[in-house]
Amino acid sequence: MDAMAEIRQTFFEECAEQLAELEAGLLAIENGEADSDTVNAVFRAVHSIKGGAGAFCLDDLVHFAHVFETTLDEMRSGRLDSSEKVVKIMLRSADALADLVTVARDGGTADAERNAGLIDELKGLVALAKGEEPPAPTAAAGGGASDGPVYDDGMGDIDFTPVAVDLSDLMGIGGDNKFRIVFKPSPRMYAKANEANRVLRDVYALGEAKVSCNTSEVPHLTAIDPEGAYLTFTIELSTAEPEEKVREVFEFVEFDCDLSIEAIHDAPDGDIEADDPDIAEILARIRATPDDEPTPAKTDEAEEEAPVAAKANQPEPEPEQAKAAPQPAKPAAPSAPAAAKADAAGDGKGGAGVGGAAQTIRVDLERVDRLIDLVGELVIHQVMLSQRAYQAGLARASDVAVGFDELEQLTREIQDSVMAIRAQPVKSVFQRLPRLVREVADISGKQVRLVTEGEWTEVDKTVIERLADPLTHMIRNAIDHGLEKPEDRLAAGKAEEGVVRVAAMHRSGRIVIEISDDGAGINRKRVKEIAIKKGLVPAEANLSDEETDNLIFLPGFSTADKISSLSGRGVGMDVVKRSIQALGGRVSIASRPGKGSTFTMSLPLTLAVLDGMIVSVGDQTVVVPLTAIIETLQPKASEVKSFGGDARLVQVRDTFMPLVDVARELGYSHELASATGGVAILVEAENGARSALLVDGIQGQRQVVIKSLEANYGRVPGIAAATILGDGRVALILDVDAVVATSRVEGNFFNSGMKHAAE
Amino acid sequence: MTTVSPPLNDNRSDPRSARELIAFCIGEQEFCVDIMSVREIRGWTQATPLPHAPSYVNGVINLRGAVLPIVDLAARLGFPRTVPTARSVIIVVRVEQQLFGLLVDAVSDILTITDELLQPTPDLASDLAKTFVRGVMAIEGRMISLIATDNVLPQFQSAA
Repeated sequence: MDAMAEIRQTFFEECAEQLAELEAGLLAIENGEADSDTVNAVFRAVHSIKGGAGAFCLDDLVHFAHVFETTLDEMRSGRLDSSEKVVKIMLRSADALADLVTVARDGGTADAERNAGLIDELKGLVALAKGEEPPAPTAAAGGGASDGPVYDDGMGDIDFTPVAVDLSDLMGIGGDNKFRIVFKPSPRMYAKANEANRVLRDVYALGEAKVSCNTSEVPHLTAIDPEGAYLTFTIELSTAEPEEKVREVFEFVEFDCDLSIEAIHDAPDGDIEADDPDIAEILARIRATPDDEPTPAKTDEAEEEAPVAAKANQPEPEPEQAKAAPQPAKPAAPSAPAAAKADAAGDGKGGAGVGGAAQTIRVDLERVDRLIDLVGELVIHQVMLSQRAYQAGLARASDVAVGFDELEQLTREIQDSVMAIRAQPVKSVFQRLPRLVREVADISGKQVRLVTEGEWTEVDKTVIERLADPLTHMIRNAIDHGLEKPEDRLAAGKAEEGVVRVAAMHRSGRIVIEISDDGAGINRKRVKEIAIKKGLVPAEANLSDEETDNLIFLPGFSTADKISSLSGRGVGMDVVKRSIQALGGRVSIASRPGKGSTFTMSLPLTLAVLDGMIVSVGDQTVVVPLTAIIETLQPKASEVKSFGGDARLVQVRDTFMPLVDVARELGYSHELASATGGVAILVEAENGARSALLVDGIQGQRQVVIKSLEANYGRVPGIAAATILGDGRVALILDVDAVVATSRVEGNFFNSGMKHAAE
Repeated sequence: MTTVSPPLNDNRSDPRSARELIAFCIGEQEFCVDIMSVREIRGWTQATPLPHAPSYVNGVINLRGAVLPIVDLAARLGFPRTVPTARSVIIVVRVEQQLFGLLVDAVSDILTITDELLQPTPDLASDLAKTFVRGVMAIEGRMISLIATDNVLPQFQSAA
């Protein structure tokens, strides 16, 4: 039972991969980037899902996948154009297939009506494809004449002659052991997706081999069974390997072929009948990597090239050929494509496997996290140890000090490498977007094209996981609120199809994700009206454009006139903003009326470490995240202006900004600190507002391991997290935005929103 | 309040069987906690104060890489705040998944008692004390109060 559950889980994991590949392939086709490989990949994906689903008796899934596969097969064989309409249906079918997989995994019910509709549409496509195709099924089925253009592969009149091949120039060095191997594959072997070529290739790898192929059993083409097996290979092998090694090559096929291996002691000679360039070419091809043998090309070559070449390269009428022949009675005959598919997949994977065995392993995330925790401790202790040693009077130039330096470097490297284990490309989130965009576009009746960039940008897994929700929300918003209806777009002189662009990039140690649309931009007048109506801002508030744009992040703000199923349920951008802030990120808007809006999310690459400036506040040591800091300065008495009450401003060049007394904000001191005695750190809050944080002094700058305060205590206003410094003491990491916000003058409407977000 | 205390965190404790408690002093008074909730006992180290924390929270210390909040039990019970000295002791306790430290003056004893010994908290005790004291017991002429560790930490709404 457990084993079964495990296999089932593996199946669903693979399904997810196949679905991703399917979607990626279809999108490539939609963009006109499709080649035969893409179409094959798409076909394979659906086929694999069907195959696996069959094994688990998931009938709905099998049925749908089968119809889908049939349609894809028409496309693969070139009878169905990959027109926009066709691809759209296929994309929707891919979504339906994904739903069916989810239903099969988690239970629930699929949208049977939609699926039935899609099945009809898919069948319609097949009929369409058939309609354009001269119906040649009877000819093929009857096996009467080779008159159909597709069926005639030009091999009807070929006289097959046995060929022997001298491989001494091409293959590995021979050895002392000589064997005569007679290898006659049976149809079963091919049905199991084994291939004589591969076996022979493995034999060649053992040493010097001469292969001759007995084709006397091959019937006339009209009588040929496309899935039959008619060839016998005789191999004279000279190798350094013992017989066991030779048998090993045939290990997987020995029950599906007639095989005899006998050791011979005289040097075989004179058996070589042919030594012509064609054969050399064939051998080269046999030895070549599977990727170099495009399957569709085989049939063409067979028609045009030397018959012997065709014969030797295609020792068997392969399932591929069976497929090339029209068999409309069962256009996606499960067995034939199954073999073809398994073969192709096997080739691909096998090739990768040979190139670098076991390139990835699946590891429990918990283990990785444990390792990361431990390495974090290691870093702390390493720092602690060296600090203590220096305090105890260790000379900087001593051998021990050099050792400490090396140890430090090593621990940093270990830390970086461990962090890299968790890093993943954002692709896993991005690849869910096309479907989302399609669905939202359908519901909202808008035409949307999604452009993604930088999907290979890497970021920590936790960040990726928690990125999906805000990103989904923002894209929904971009389509629902940002883009105009097609007719409005035309009226505004834009293309009917709106563009939503999602781009990820690394920027100064953070990952930045931009979601932009080319819609109407934020209607500031309306935003302000709504905010006033909802009591979020006082009616007389005088707001800059930027402040107005930021109103949409306030809790309870929603511009939608009516509640649609997409957005406008009152949980809007404030939720997005809070979830991003919870990740240590920020979000900002840039909007140009008529041109569109851009939302920019900036997130830390990892949630485990942070670059910080270590500062003294009162008797305490506090860490200020480096990402928030613009510059530091020592204010002069003339630059600090009192601004009513305790509020002070500091002049930096020609701008004034509020001076925030950190010790006071954190309750470490109740006295107003002297501005000239300390250091001002210029920070930028996520709404772009700048403030100066007044601290007593700067101790240094370093990477700190983030420790959660919430785990054992709870959230502390003004504090983002904690860390442990080299002296073993806990230092708090400042939440710059919250500190700046709480310091704002009472009555500022931003205050409540910020406080809310900080809670 | 019933005469028999509700079972402690330790589900294995049979009401009839002996239960072990760690007794400690705050000023002149003695208190105790169930030994099963105690993870370790360690000396005082300077805590990092937390902003906007209740007065009974001393701050946080580094417990082998974990951030451990320290509660001044005296202040929590409504007594004057403890002035920590080098002889002060931190009792690290676990309540469900949370670890925290109780700052006390000294650990005095390990007691083995049965539940019959435990008397309900007398009515004259202040409301504050009643919240944290599960019961009292008389041992060798001393009065020792059993502390309910569940409510000692300030309660936070789970972060949305």
